[in-house]
Amino acid sequence: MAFLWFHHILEQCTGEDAPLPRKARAWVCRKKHTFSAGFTTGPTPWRPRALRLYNDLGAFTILGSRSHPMSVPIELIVNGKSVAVDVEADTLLSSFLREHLRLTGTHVGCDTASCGACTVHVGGRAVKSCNVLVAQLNGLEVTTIEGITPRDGSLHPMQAAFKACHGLQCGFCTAGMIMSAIDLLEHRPHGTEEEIRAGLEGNLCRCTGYHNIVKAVAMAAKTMGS
Amino acid sequence: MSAIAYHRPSSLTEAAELAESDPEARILAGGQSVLPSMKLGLLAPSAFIDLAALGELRAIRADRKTVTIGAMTTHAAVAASPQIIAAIPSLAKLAAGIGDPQVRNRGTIGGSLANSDPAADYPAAVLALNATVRTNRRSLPADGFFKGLFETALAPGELITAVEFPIPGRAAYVKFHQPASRFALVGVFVAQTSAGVRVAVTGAGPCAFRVGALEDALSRRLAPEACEGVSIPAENLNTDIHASAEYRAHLIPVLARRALA
Amino acid sequence: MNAARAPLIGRSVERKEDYRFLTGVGQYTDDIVLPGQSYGCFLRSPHAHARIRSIDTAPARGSPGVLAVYTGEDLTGIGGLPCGWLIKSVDGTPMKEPKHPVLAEGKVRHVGEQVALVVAESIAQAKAAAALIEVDYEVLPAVTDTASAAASGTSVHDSAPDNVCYTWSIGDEAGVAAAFAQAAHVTTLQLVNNRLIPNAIEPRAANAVHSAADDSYTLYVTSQNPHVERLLMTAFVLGIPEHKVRVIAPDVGGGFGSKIYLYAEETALVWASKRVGRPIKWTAERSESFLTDAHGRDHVSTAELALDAEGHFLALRVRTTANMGAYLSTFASCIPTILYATLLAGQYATPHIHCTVQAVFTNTAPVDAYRGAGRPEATYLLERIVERAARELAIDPVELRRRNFIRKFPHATPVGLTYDTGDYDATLNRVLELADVAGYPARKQASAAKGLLRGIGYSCYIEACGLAPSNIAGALGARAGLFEAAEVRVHPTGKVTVFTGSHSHGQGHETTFAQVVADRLGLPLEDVDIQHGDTGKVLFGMGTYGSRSLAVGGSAIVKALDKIVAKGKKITAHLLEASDADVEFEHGEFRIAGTDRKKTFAEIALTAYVPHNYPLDTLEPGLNENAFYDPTNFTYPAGSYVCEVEVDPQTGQVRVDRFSASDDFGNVINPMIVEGQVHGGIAQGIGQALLEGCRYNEDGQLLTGSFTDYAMPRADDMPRLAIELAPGTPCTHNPLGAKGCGEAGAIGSPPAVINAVLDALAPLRVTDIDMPATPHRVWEAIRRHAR
Repeated sequence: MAFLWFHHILEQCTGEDAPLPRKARAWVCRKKHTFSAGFTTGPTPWRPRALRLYNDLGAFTILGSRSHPMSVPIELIVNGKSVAVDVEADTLLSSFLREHLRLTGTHVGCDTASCGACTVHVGGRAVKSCNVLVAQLNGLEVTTIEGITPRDGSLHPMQAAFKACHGLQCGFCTAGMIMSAIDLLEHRPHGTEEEIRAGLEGNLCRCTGYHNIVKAVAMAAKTMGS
Repeated sequence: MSAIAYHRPSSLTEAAELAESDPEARILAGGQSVLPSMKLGLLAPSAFIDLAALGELRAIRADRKTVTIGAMTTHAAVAASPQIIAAIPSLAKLAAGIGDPQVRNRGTIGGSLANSDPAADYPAAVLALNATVRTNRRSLPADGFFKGLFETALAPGELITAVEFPIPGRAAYVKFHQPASRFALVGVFVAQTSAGVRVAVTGAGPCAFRVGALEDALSRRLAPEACEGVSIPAENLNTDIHASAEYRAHLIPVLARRALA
Repeated sequence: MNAARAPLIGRSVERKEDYRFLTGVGQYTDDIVLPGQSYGCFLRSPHAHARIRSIDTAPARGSPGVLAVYTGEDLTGIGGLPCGWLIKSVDGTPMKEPKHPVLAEGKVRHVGEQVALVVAESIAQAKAAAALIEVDYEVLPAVTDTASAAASGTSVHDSAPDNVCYTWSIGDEAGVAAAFAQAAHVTTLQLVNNRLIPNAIEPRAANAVHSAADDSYTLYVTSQNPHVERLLMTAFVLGIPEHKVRVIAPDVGGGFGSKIYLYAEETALVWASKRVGRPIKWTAERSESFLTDAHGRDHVSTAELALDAEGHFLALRVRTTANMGAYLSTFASCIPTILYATLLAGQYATPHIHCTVQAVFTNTAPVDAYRGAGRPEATYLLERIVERAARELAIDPVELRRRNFIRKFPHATPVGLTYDTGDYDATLNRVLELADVAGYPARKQASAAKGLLRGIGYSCYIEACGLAPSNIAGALGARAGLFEAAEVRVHPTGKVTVFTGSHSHGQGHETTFAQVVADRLGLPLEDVDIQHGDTGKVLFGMGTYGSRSLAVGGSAIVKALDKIVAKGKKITAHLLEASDADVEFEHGEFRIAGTDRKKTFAEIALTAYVPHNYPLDTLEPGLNENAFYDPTNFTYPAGSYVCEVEVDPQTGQVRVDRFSASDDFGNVINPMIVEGQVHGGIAQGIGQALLEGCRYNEDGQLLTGSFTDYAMPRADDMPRLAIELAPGTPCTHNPLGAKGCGEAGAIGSPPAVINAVLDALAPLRVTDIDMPATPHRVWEAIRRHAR
């Protein structure tokens, strides 16, 4: 599932509006007090006031994961090349690509897996690289925007369509948008305009109003299909 | 501080042992809720127990009476499964509307159910279709599985292995989006099952729940018009910046009606 | 390049900058990693308003990997972040300007305010250390509501006990009162212009490094105007010599206003970089962006429109309260005044207008310019009240607008502007065709058959762009000039690099400006490169905002090109032994008039750099020219928008079905890029009208702090757009005849959408709704009137 529903929770479960005392935040931090968000759910250690955390910036911005993660040996294929490294258990694919492999074409635009700027292909399907651990991908194939770009200076048909249709402005969402669009066409090659719009639901663009992006994907559907 | 560990068990037994031995470990199915929670500092597990190697949890099986979906089946796989599309099209359609395409490529049915997000889609289907949640220890009926906000009947260390859906007669799910998150502001699943008409709602309460008033009305007559005049009390429904409890209460019969249209 | 070729100006040339963005090789601030890179994390206030009793940083300092921890106490002798525009109150007193500290000093005044900076070897270590800082807060009551801030009894700043920053007015109050006394009809309207969060998809980021070699600094930062950033930071805050700081704004992933301002984070990083002796990088997490990027809009207004019996506007009276947030951001004070009230005439010949604006401090993030900046607020108010008046008087809303259009230019409005040119009938008539208004009744019927209510809404907007004539701006309180600078550097081989003070963060300047240059010099597009965003390369710049880049920055380039051509003529005259006055320049050739004696541009360039046969006694070698262009007036883009919506009366869901626009931007260089700007602006306008609304609770906690609660328009929220650029009335006072196009969509669209929603809901007797018209809000409005 995608995401927790903080404000609903906040208002549903906090009777009081007083900010969570700092000590309580620290307690939360130290106890790693959380609510159930995985497969195992014991008696939920749910404490309504702890959800104040979300609005309690001092806590949520600075709470990191534990600082000494275990190293995990992994092997994966990135843009056709084998990569064998030890990564920390909590390394996100987006950080791995950007910081370890210096593939900075993949961008990070949010911390809630909402914007899709970090979209890459894993095993041929679009995923948000900010929402996957590298450790989860042992043996899989990862393709980024750098990986779909021809080496001869030309463009992938989707890239070419974005250029021809002016489907990008600032360029920050573009890589993720293109990776999503390629996946969309591979699985729905003859989509209607409505289907294209729905298929790009996971990617935010603040510049284009999506008008020319939709046009570009429709154009690419023709060029890639032919 | 202790190290955050990563485990990739190769059997269900091993996964269960790991989960039981460390209550602060987090199971990773698709990770689509766990990882954002961690990033916001709401979750700091001691270890990840990644179920990716358990291929047997990805099976989809259908016979004349039931569809069984492995816990690690992604939403995208459910949405695209010819067996599910043939047997329970409403379920495939529901899966096709969860989150967004990228989330559907990673998120799993088991992860969604174990998380019991108050606005998740699958819980409505599980309740309305009267599904059975299979775990490594037992079978849990849909009724009683969702206990509250992010709370289920699963015991510590208990893992969902599959969900078994009886094939219904008519069934449909209608979701009204929360405009920002695109989770269900309210989602209503109506199903004609061997146990009678069942109506389940997500997004409106702490967890998914059934609506007796609508089930009664629709048991008398399974038609859109039967939803008219059914009024859902707003008490105990969610109020947040996106919708009041009254609005959610209002939407429930409206969406139920549309499910039948 | 001898034959005349089709001009590049006016053509939808594909963008030169696209390749790097399409292939992932663009370089944004966070992509840059410097040798010895360290990382900064800001500890932020969890409280909207609190006194800081003490801060204990000792545990953080001892945390693994930590290089330094700084709080406000460490920044002694450092100034506050300045506001660039002085507004004076009606009584002549200057606005209240409380210090905007780089790191909190004694008090915090909004959630997310930066309290401490931790620098560490890694971002994870910096965050872990920040969590160990113990801050003892005495929590104080918070002020968050715009309308009641002045009467709240709680002061955000001691120096503004009633939270009023200024009370400003414009127009002839007595004349307005007299006109109202004569009115046959008065329409009144109270409205809120909702608070918005800009949300460029690239979060703000900075990377600062100090060089011990010459005691200089380099700052990479997500900025729309690096020179302004440098000037403000060095001269007003840090006291570092301006020439010792180089500010580079590399590829920037959208701004929409939010990256104009000098922010605390990059300022702190520059200051700390010398002390730490390492480059320090900070990149905002989106949650930080929500809390600390300057927000936009947030007005509460009352408006009254006086009309005569025939529906002519006699006078407009407006009272607005504008939220400044906790501190004055760089341009905050001029947005609800100079860029708002001056636009209240719109496209209409209203003879009398008076507007009073009270600006208030609250315990919320600073509010400043966001795409449109003041002009969307004016347009929304005006176009809502015009449509309400039309309904009250049972006059067709299109006809009422036509009855009041300005048709003679230049036109001096009663609120200080002089429109140089325009043709409002042309854009209105065209948009009615584009929108197929004639077919509307049939569509309404078809919607009704589906149980849906269809509505149509209009909006005729005007904006003042091309900011700005420096002398006028100065008289209005600007503390800066608003010209633009350019350098045209012709290389010996005849290739050209242009350095512009404008900044492109999506606008496509590298293409548009190159089209202008290539056309003027008769060169192929690929022979021209545009450079921007680096104070180390570009001579000066005021940056990009207020739809000014082409009108002002482009004009500066044209001025420099004129100097290049003039010098080229002199060189040609010398080589061909003719008089300067006889040399013509066309299609890349310098030619002696009426002869076939000529020199190509490349030959002249080479001669300038290899001046063997050259008038060295009267002319310098080289071919490189600078220019500064200061506009003589604002430009006035205008247009008409039509929106059609379907409202589901059972759920309150609004769907934009059709959206049509006809815009007059004067001369257009690249229609494809200009249309793209309109598309994006309309999406933000539809976002404001239907989806986006920043909400704080009364404690000052941000309730819409992520993309899961702040609804951004997605692809399936948007209709297909019918956009057409009008042939246009060229701007009369800049050499390109360009007016600017960046903000129009965001300015014109919100009232069109809301007017359409209200038209749809009219049969249910709903007459008012505030933005965003979410399903919940629409349903409540319907229910309220059904009772």
